Amino acid sequence: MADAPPTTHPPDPGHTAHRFFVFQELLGTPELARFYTDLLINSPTTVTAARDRQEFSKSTAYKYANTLAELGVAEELDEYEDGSALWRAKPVSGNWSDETTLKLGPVIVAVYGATSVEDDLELFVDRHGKAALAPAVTATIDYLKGNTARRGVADDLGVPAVEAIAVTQAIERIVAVVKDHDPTLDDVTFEVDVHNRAVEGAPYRHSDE
Amino acid sequence: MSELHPSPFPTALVLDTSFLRTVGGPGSDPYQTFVEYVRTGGRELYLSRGVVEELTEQHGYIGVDWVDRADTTEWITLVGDVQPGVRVHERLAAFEQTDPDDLRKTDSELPAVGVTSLGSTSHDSAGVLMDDRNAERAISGVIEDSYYEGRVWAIDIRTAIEFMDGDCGGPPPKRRAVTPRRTR
Repeated sequence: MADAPPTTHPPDPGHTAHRFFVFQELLGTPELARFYTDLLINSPTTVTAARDRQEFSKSTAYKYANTLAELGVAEELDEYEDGSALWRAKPVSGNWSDETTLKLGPVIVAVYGATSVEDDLELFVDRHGKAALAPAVTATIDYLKGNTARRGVADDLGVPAVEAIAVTQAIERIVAVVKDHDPTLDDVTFEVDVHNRAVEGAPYRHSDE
Repeated sequence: MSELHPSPFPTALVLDTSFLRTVGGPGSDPYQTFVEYVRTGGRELYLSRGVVEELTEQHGYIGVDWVDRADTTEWITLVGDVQPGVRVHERLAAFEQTDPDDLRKTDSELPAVGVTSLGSTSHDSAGVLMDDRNAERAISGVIEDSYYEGRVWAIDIRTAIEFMDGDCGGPPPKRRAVTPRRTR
């Protein structure tokens, strides 16, 4: 996995390995990924506010906040709101290259995080495995770019049309909420607007909504 | 086309799988609005062969058994074989950068069902209700400047539900000017 942004420093294998383990941790623990995503899209925010939005217990929320701090993707600030410390999460990104290159960023983390609360995503993973979600995210982004209809996604993924329809509907509202926080999508323009009513059904929301 | 409501709203409604997925079941507001509108407004619903096949294979992604309901109600009709719209099909193939022969025919079948409903019933206009902006765009694009412009519409689910909500006692919907019917 290699970090996308250019750097003047020589490549650092330790830095790359660290990012690998960050993604491994986030993608392997959906609830941690969900907490990270909430913290990211609402930064700066308090752990209390994040746990209220995502309905975690107090102990679980602080455990996840500390895990994210240890991973280096969130930090506690020296600022307070209603007596609680504010936290800021950083966007994580990287590429995984094998037969093809998979761009990893906050959107894909958010989608994996949502498998713990979205029935359609959970069903999709049950039937096709966790790995099938990554191409589903890529195909949904292709749909939002205006390049394919939902049934075209079905052909790309090799799944029944109704599954492609369901999974793209579940993923598109997450993309709509998280896109602006994902550096891997900075240069991507969407032709398809996700309707506000669809966004209201997303498992993530901004604190001002 | 989708943000503008056809006026009058079509009386024959062709339902895509994407619409049925998003409209949900008895516990959802859009479902209640939709069913109330259809029942009180005397609308007729049509399910294409491809959509019926998809609903049959859907295994848990849609809560309502629309195919079974078609067997037990008069306001839903299952439509058999129709000739898919060739131009719609070609446009979709171009969108998806694939060989038309390899493309699923369900999307291009939908406006064909709408056309069939106009020819075989007393309906003046047909609406294809869907939640797929790209398929909707392809269908709308080929209907424009055709004989069926103003008679067959591809309509986004949110546009449709907002209209139905208004028509069922809410605020009046925005309406676009009536498209003159072609006489050629």
